[in-house]
Amino acid sequence: MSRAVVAIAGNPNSGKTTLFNALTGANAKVGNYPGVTVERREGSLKLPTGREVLVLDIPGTYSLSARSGEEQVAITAVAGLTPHTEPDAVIVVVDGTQLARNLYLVLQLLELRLRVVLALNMNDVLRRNHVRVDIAALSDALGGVPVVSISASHGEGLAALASAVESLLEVQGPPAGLPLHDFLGEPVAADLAAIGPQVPEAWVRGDGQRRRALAAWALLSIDGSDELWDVPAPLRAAVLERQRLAQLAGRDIDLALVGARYRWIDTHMPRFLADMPSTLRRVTDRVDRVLIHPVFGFAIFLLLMTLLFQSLFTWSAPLIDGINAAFAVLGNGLRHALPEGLFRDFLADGIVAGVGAVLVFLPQILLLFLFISIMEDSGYMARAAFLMDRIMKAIGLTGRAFVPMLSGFACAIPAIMATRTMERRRDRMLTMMVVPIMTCSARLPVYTLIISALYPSPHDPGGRVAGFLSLQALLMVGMYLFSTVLALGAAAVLGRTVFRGQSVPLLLELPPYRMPAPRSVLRMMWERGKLFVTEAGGAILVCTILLWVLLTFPRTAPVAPPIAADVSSPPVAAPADPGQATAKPGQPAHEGVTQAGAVQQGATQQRATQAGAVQAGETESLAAAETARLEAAEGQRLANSWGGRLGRFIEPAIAPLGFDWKIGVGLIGAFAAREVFVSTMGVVYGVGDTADESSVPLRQRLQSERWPDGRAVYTPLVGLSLMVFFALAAQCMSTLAVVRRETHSYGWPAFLFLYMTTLAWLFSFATYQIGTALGWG
Amino acid sequence: MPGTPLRMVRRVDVGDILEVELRHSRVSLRLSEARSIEVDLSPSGAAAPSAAPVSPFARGKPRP
Repeated sequence: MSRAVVAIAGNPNSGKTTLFNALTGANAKVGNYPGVTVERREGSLKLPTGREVLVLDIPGTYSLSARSGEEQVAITAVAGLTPHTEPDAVIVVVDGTQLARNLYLVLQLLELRLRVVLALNMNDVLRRNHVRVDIAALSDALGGVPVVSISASHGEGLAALASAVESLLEVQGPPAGLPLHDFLGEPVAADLAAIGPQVPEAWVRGDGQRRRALAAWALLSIDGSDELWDVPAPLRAAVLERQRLAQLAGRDIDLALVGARYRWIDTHMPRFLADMPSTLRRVTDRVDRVLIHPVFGFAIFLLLMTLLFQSLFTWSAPLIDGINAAFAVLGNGLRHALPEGLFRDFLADGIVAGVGAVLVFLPQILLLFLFISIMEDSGYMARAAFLMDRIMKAIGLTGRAFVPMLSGFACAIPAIMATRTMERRRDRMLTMMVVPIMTCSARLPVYTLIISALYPSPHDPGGRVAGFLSLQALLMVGMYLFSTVLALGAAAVLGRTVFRGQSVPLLLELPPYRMPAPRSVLRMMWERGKLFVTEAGGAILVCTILLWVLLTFPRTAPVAPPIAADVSSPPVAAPADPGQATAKPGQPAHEGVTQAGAVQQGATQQRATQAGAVQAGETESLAAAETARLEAAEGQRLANSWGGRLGRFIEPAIAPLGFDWKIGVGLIGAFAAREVFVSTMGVVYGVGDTADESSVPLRQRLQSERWPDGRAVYTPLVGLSLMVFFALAAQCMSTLAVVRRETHSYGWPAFLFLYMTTLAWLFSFATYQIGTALGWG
Repeated sequence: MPGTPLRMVRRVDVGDILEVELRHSRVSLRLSEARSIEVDLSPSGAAAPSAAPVSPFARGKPRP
């Protein structure tokens, strides 16, 4: 026998998820509803008699009316419309301190003739404030619906609630429902009668009252600009026609329907609630005097955001380093343990490096969601959105976009995931499309290498601006400003073009402040981390392996240049003809380490093998020459790989930006993670795969690199053009993989890649060409 | 809803936001949008929208 399904519905901030967590413990599963980025949580609950039921957490909603696919999930899941099955019972969580507003949803559920148990939450707060809700009168007014007082955060009343659910499941026959006829008035009753026949029979299931309730839902939800799914065309047409006729007659159907429900509430409220004292929000009011104060509020907000930013940057660093180190050890261990060959390389350089590339994002994701969870659960997030609304509105975003945008300075992956806190799809999509422009930490090693190699330090001539400002520091700050301005500009443009939508008024609930429950916070962190690993991790892993293949094949026998006769010559060597034989090029890793991929592993092994052949007593300079010879061979291998050939293939497209084919190879390698550009360039220029942004040999090689006509390849102008390109290009496969998962579409990551790469090319082109025309080249 | 009593809680200049209380709930809305709601001031200090508002609340789907 299949398990009965019990849905939990309720308003946002009513304690619905806290109740779900309390009932299901640690056995909940998190996924998405099909086709939308709305989380679907389900868990199991053992009822008093030992019967186990499946508990489903319905997305929080103030009403069942919907305009988007995301909002539509609540009605389809709770009423069992296609593709969902109807739950056997519904626990509707009602915040006892906001009874009037919460009852609206209760009425809609009862109109649909669902089996409902009303969980009157916040009983502890009501008791503390001497507010008495007459449970029996409330139940009676709602037609005998079971009402149980609970305090979800304290675990109070949960056993009684489970008993009530069990009793409800044993009742045979349909529930009484709650018709609103008395409050509707004749014209609206006629509207419902006119729409009713168009409501699909599969939704209605032969129930006349349910037909009227769904007709009311259609009248309130469908209009000319809604984004609802699977609404039958005849129903849509009938609703639009009825609305047109009502408008001609000077009637507002929406107001009549909403008004009927509120008239019911206003009429019945005195039966079960005498009064709601104003002392209920005394503490919240006092705290709000500070937290949304024009001066102190902003100061505290900036302080908190600094803390968040700092944590993403610095607190996560040891964890990221730890993960990188662990996977480097694992990869090296495999290389030593397994016989040499393709399988070993694939395992160590493809799989292990790929899994490492996924897990390395976890520290920042967990930290970001620690902050977000605390901000959400405490009620502060709504205040932050409140404070930032005016600024964000100017660029077409809402106040809630601020946290993801700021997080984008650390890493776009958690920032994109943080957009889930935004209600409107349009806002979420727009934020996702501009967050990757923010200067993430992965760009820093690239900027550092370019700036330190191509621009004078403060100690060198020309290294100071206005006599005291470091040119290098100004450039770094300039890149941050550039990306921020571009991201805001992109939001403004995309918001008025691609994401142009109906202006929606801000109507934000400011819930009372509450102490976040540690269990709830930890659970959210766990769920988001798990979601990332299971949903986006696979795509990142596949992309990492593909890139490994690109930079590893074709595999041919390694041929390194002969050891130089003069062993005192500097250990630098340009790659030879890429048509020569190759072995294994670079496989990149994420930030914090230089390169954990094929290059490192192949090179290490080769060095070890060949070093073993060196006779004892040979000079150190000979060893150095041997190292240089092997590093040059690595460069050759990379140059001859498919990735290297691709670099040559794209050279005509990047030449107008001032880039040669070797930079092209670096750009391809950087697709794994931007900072991998540095180590890939180390391999390309034969200075070793362990080169990082502070590598002096790599800087020297960049400075000495020449075009065939003797011109320097890397000039300050080329450096600027390259930084501009990195600032704007969507060169991060992990970002694209996460966008794909969040949007459930290949189109949006493709759009993101195309628009950002086009933007990067255009700005880089303008930088290089204008600079050259002005003689800066 | 026309006729619903509401109480102004505060106006926050920095965010161009107004916080009001209606039906025991606090909601905030932009001042520019709130301007399109007509209210009648009552002697007790509470205000009630006098007619169906002409703001986006009226044009869009009214939400409870």
